[in-house]
Amino acid sequence: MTLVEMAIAFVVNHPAVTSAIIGPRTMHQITTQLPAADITLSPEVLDRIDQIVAPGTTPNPFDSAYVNPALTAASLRR
Amino acid sequence: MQYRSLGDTGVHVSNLCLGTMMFGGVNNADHDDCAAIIHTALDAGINFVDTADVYSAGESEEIVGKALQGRRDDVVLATKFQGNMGDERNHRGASRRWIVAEVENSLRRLGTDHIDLYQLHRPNPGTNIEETLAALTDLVRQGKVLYLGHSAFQASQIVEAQWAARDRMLVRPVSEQLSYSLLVRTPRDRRAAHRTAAPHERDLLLAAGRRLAEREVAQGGGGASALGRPQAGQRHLRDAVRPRRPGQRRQVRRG
Repeated sequence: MTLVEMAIAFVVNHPAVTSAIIGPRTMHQITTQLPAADITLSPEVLDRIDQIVAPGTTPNPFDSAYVNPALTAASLRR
Repeated sequence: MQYRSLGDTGVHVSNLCLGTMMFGGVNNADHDDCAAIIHTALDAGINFVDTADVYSAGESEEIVGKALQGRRDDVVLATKFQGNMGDERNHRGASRRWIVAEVENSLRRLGTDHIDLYQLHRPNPGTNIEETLAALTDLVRQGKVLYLGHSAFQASQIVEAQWAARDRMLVRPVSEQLSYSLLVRTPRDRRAAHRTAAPHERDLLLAAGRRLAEREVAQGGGGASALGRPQAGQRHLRDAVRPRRPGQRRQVRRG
């Protein structure tokens, strides 16, 4: 299992997720992403992931794609 | 490839969705190469394709539309509106005025007569959700759009949209697309606490995906999740949005 496959399988394996969106830019990327559709992560792997990135956390806030507009303009808080 | 119902619509989508933000513009300007990637995805069993009007200013929709010619009916096609589509201040947003104009632009770029899933790309605090849902409901009744969705909604906004749809007899959204990945495990706000159906993800594939790509490992994934798949022990979203009794006043305040 590659890192790419694990990353996508992690999303797909969540029972609340219907579909994981992959965003390939190259043919190489899509061909390395496709196998993830049929991978099930073991409880051991999921536990290890939880140790590295705890549930409910985002290590780098810049990875969050959306910032509430109410937090960006100081005038909204004054 | 595995297939799951998109929410409770009964429409089955693959558990991988082809995101198309990397097609066109500065990401991949080779339209033939982009089309080949799309065909590779379809040949592998992916039947769910997601784009947006803002991706490379409409170029992504054009690439997708061209690549799907002849295969359109085999694909659940999703796109979005709300982002800036030019300097004109009303060529953006979630107003009826913009929605009725931009859906025609997306249909033209996609080369199709209907959009399977039409999504509000981001919450729009300046627009009443009832205005947005009413305009989208008209599109559904016209046959231009089949299902509604949203993206980057907080749990409270998901519930408000469901409530507004029920309250006003409007078409209710069936999906939410959000950031969720190995590197973004924060449910937006109290989404998890609300135990709606939550995590989807999509834009985030950008951020997380690019970071992975920088490390020479290609991209990670985002996730799209649909409303309507409650976990064991969880309440269904619709159960959380109880109908009001006759005469009962609405208790949600708009802020």
